[in-house]
Amino acid sequence: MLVQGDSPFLPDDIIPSILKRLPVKTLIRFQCVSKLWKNLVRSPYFIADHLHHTSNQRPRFLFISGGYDSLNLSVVDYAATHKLLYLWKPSFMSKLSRTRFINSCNGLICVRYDSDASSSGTSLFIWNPATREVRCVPGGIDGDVDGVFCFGFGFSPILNDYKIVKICMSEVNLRVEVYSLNTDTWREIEFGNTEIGRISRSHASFNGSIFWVAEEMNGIVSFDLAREVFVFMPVPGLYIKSQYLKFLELNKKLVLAGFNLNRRYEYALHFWEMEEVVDVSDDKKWGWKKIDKSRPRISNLATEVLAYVESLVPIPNIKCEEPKS
Amino acid sequence: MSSSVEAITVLSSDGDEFKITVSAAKLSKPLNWMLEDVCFSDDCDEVPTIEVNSKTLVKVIEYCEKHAPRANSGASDSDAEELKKWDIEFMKMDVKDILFHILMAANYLHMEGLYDLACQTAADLMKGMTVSQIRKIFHIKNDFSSEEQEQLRRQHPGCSFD
Repeated sequence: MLVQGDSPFLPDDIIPSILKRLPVKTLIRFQCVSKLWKNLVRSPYFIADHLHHTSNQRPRFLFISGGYDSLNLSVVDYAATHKLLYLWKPSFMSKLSRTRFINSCNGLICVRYDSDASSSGTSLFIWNPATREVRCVPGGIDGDVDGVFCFGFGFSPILNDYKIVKICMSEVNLRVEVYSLNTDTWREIEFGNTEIGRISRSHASFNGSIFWVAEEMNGIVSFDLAREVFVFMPVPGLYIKSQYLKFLELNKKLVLAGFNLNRRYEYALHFWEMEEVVDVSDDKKWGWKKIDKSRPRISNLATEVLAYVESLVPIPNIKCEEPKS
Repeated sequence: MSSSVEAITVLSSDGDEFKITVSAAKLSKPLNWMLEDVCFSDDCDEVPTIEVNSKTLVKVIEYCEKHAPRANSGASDSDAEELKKWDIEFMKMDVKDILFHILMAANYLHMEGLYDLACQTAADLMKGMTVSQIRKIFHIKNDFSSEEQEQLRRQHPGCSFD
């Protein structure tokens, strides 16, 4: 135990260095220590520093499991002998069958949730499981539009804003709309003439861009969240024998993960790391380096795996009408 | 610089003398500067003072001496693993009662490794503490008015001021 009587006064600049190593739950509790501590924990600078420090720790995966009438989000607690920790979710969000996970970025999770069987009850939600803030995104889905929706959720450090990209692919055309969390509005944008074919539902937000696998075109489609432009990049040898491919951001690098289910219904994960720095304006050749091969015992019920980092990132302009569960 | 110098003598803030090897002193920029000053100066009898108390300085020097071989020559993964284990024991056994002094010394002596280690140890200890225990060790007064406390409680149900 720390000696309480004669501990010295720590200089104010040392305190954030200690606090950034604490879990969000503890930091929320310690807001009650004093006004100074409360303001520190809520300051954008500290939140960014805490996120940066947490992101550099061991990567965490968010496992989504459940069934028709249940939904569980869990992460592996490396500190406590790989026990599963369950994450908070909005109370109405109780059925996996009605939930589609779009992405997780800086501790925020974006999902599409059907509150009833008809498409009119479909909404997009963003929430932070650690701070328990939740926000409903208005007007996400048009019920009368025919076509396949593909979503992307990511962060632009330049704009300091989170955006949702909605791509609606139909027989005749391709429509793209972008939602900004700061302005709370949707805007239609030009897609351009790029031929992309079918793109993956799985994507990654990295360096201010969103990346999808363009399976039919043997390449990657990226979308710059600040400039709002799409770029197609061919990646030779992208085809990897896996049941499905997924982008993840791990340790500040873009990683492509391939998942295979083995005979015992366990996932085998294979990771490839992009070898060159991602620069969408540059015509560099991309290579993939195999970085890890692990066979963690993941519940065979986990239908989705996302990279997750716990954060204090606040959600602006919270207003949410909870649908009936 | 004389190459024969292998260790220097420093004074703690309590006025006690300590020996630290040249390679260990290299872990700290300010110590390194002192080292150069001592070696280049004609008056080699002058003993520099480090503004760290004796109890703390013993531990800081112990850390430096342990980490010096690896910092100066690079080491294998097994050495790194061994060092990590040593760090954990070092923090577990000996320094809890002077942790904040170690933190301040590591900050003042620009020792990144020790600073990170001490910050992490402090954070791990704090996780299990109540708000009033935190106030006590950090010498902080509860400056919330009862209205502000009520407001925070509404935002974070179950949040305690004790």
